[in-house]
Amino acid sequence: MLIRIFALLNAAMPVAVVLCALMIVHHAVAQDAVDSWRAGPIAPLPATPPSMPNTDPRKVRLGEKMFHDLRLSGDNTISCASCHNLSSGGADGMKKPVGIGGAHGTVNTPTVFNSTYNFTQFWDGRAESLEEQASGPVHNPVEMGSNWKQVLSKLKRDKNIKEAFLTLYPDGITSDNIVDAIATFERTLVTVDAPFDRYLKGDKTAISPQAANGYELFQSYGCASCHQGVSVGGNMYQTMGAMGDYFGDRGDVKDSDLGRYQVTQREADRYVFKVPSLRVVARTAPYFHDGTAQTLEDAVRYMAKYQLGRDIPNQDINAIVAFLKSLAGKYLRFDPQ
Amino acid sequence: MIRSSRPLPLLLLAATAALVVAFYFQTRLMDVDRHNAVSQDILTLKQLDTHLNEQTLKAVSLQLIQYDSLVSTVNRMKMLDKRLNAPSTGLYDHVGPGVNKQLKIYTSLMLAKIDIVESIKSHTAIVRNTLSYLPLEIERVTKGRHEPEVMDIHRLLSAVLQHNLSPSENTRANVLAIMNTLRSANLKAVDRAAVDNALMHVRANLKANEAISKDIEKFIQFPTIRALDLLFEAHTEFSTARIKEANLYRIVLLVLSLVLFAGLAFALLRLRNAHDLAERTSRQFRDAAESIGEGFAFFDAKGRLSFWNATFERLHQGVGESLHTGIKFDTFYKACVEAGVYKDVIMDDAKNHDTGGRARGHPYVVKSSGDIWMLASDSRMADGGTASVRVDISDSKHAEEELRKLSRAVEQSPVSVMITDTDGYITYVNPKFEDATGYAAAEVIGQRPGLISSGEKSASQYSELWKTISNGGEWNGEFHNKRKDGTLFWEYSSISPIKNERGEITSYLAVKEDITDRKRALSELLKAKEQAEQASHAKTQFLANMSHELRTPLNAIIGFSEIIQGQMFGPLGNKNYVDYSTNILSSGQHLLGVINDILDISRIEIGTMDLHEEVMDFTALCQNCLGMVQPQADLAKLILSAHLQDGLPFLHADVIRIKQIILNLLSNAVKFTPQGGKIDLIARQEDSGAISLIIRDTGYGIPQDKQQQILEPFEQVSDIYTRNHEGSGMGLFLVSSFVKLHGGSLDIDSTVDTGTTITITFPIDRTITA
Repeated sequence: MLIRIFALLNAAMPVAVVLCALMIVHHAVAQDAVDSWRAGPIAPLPATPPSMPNTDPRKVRLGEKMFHDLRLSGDNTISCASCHNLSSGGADGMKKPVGIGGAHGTVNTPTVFNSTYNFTQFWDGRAESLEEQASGPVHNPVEMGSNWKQVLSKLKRDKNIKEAFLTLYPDGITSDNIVDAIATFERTLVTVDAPFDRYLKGDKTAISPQAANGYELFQSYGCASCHQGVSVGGNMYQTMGAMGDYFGDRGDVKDSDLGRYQVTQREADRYVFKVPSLRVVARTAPYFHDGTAQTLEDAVRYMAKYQLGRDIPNQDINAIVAFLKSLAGKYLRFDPQ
Repeated sequence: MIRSSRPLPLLLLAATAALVVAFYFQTRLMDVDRHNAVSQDILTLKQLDTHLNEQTLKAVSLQLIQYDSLVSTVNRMKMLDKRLNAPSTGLYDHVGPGVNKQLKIYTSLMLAKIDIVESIKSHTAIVRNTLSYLPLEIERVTKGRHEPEVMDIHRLLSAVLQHNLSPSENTRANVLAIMNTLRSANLKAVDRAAVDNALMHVRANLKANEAISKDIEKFIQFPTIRALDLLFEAHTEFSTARIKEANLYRIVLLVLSLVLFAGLAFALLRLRNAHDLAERTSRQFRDAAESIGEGFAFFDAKGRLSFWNATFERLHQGVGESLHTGIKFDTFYKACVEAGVYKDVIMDDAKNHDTGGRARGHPYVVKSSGDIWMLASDSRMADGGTASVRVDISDSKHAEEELRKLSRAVEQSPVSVMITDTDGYITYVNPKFEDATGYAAAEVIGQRPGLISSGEKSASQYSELWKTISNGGEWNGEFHNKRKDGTLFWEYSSISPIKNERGEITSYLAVKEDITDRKRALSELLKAKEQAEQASHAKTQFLANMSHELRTPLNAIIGFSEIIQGQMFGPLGNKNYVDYSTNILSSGQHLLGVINDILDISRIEIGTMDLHEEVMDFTALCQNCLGMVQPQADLAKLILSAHLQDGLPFLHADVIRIKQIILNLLSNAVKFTPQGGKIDLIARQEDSGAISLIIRDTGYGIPQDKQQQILEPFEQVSDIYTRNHEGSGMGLFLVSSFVKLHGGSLDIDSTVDTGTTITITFPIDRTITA
């Protein structure tokens, strides 16, 4: 019986391969006209992240609950959502966040939206994955100021949470399971169907001509050398002040300005940060790791100066800003039918 | 048989099981899926590494405009490396410390390589940007200008481009040289700013390029592929060794399995044989239990019924549904009692008086309704169960009853019964014997019957007795026996041998009846008989004498009265004397007839009447008799008619007696038929061949109740009628006697006032056909 199946498969294989090849070619050919963006630096965000099909909706719900759960903080006043507020672009709109007991955070809150597309997490890339990242704030004394032991003891007293965890995880409430749930939820926080994506896919009326011009400028100026990929950034490191002495000019260099040096202790990594994703940049002012750029225009100007060594005229800045604004898509709460 | 070899297969089984377990643990290490996954991961890593190289170099040559694919490659490599390092699924801790070290080396190499990739990414972006900016900027600055400084700027650009195209120390030095020139060149303020700006970009470009060159140099030297190859080799070696190990175990296991299989097959065979034997035995037992005539039932150790045979069921029919598997013994017993199956239970002794006693197997007798008797016992078996046996003893009980009846018969018999053994010693006497002889049974048992003999029988008589009975015959005879008190009595004994089924004589039975009274009566009877005979004899003598004495004078009377009536010697003178002589004659003749009849009767009674038979013409005789009676009939005004069959055969008979018969019957008919009557005489041969004579009259008839009587001598049917009949009443007796002597039959068919028909049929053998 098995032998028969194998024989059948063997016979079917070349056929399958040919068919697949044909399909791919056809697809490619068919897409050719539409996928002109493949030649470009920016690609449209996929409608669903790759992990989506295997996601258990119950985990997402639980992760959402955990994301909004105040008990993850020492004094039960702060949840993930306190700083990564979903209704304000996934960030807190502040230069630097305020943590437990009014503690001052060290770096500007990065957006949680589309964070699944970041190749590492945190400005300095010290967390490889969303799961790794989730532990950080919990233990950070200036953020949630707690620890897993504390959090677990609080959560274990909650019968509903306990039950919910037990249904999904055989070992119930553990720190690993909590971050797993949170990360599962975070992976659903994608903004899709941005006007610019539609534009990329062929709808030339999706964005204003100014924005389209802005995109061209974005590329020609060289912004797109670093802010590229589906997430318009988030996939490489770069020195802050590659073409200018940003920190020298700004002054008051703190540890948080050292960037990747804090992780690798290499000179070469001093002032090196993860290039952030610009997808929801329209909603996450202020900008940069230190939150110094109040507006998008400011951000563009500074970037041009310190990263490109260029002086961009206002007209171009506006165009680029218009382009940047067209990058934001819609967040659709994960609700599988 | 199986017991002795039981340890061996078990031992084999245990040993093999232990080895199988050990083997399992050993081969678990040779996890094929894991091996395949690890191998695949290593190969994929190699592929990815190559791909990474490709993409990185592409990036360096500014062909990558976005880094998502590079990031994806790096991510996959990290993921695979993580997987290889996972203790449960990967390579780490799977093979050995050497491999672990190798893996660590690879991981660090990979991470270092990836770091470089990141650096390259960052620097390449700068190179691209500067390269795309510089020409534009320089063009803007030098547009339409041809000063020598401008030439330097152009030269700067081309030097930069050259350096970017194929970086070397020379090109770098070139660029730096021109940069120096430009720095120290005297330029206009506007130009100065622009040139300084350009120089800044060039510096950035140079720096980035330097970084990239350094990175690439390191990058291509990374021995990640080599490390992966080493890992793969080590892994394969390890797996191969494991496979070899596993194969060895497999061979051992195969051998053991075969041995085990053989052992098990053997054990199975034995088991099957044992099972078959057990089955057979069980079946035999069942068959035996079913086929025997006794009822069997078994109750298990818990007292529950587990088996019963057909006979048992039949004997306990009345209890119906209570006879089912699982019923408890006591419940069943009670049900039997209630259903009347155990209507009466007869226990032998006190031992049986309780359930316990019953269960100890002592037999008891049970009477069922329907006159069924059972011999029952319930025995405890070794395993704690109970075996109940029920034997249908109805027949033997009935036989017992019969026997008891017979024995009671003997006991209470009105005759004495004595049984002796073959040597003649008394073994049994019944109470009647005791009464008769006055001896008690105990006194005579063991004695010889001679005890009661009076000694009158001779020895020869006794020996004759013995001879008869010991030869198997029956002897009947009389004994004059003596009672205990000495009184004598007569016994009529029937002595017969009692034989067993083989025909051997086992004892003698004497049935004796006290005939003392009878004997006395007999002797008296004998005496009376003797006297009667003597009397009869005397009578015959007397009659013989008398016949002569009576006849002689009668002859004289008849003769002389005839002469006188005939007036032979002259007339008598007076008519009265003729009448008187006629009277004397007829009276004398009548008297002679009577005397003759009486003599005939006497002879008949004594039995000396002899027939003188001859072949005679019956028809002629009938005619003769009719002629003789005709005058009487005429006188009585009767019609006399004869119906004589033609050709009637002759009769072998005594003529004289036949004549007497016919004449008597005819005269009776004439006598008893009134005037105007009819008398018929019919002589014919019946279909059977016998000759018959019928005399029919229309006379007074004979009443039914008198028809037998009148055949007796001296009987007449005269008391009813007023008419005084002649006759002495002897006629019909003589007729019937003569008919009897001839062997014939006489039938009277008569109705009062209508007539009489007398039919005489002679025996067939008397018919003589001519």
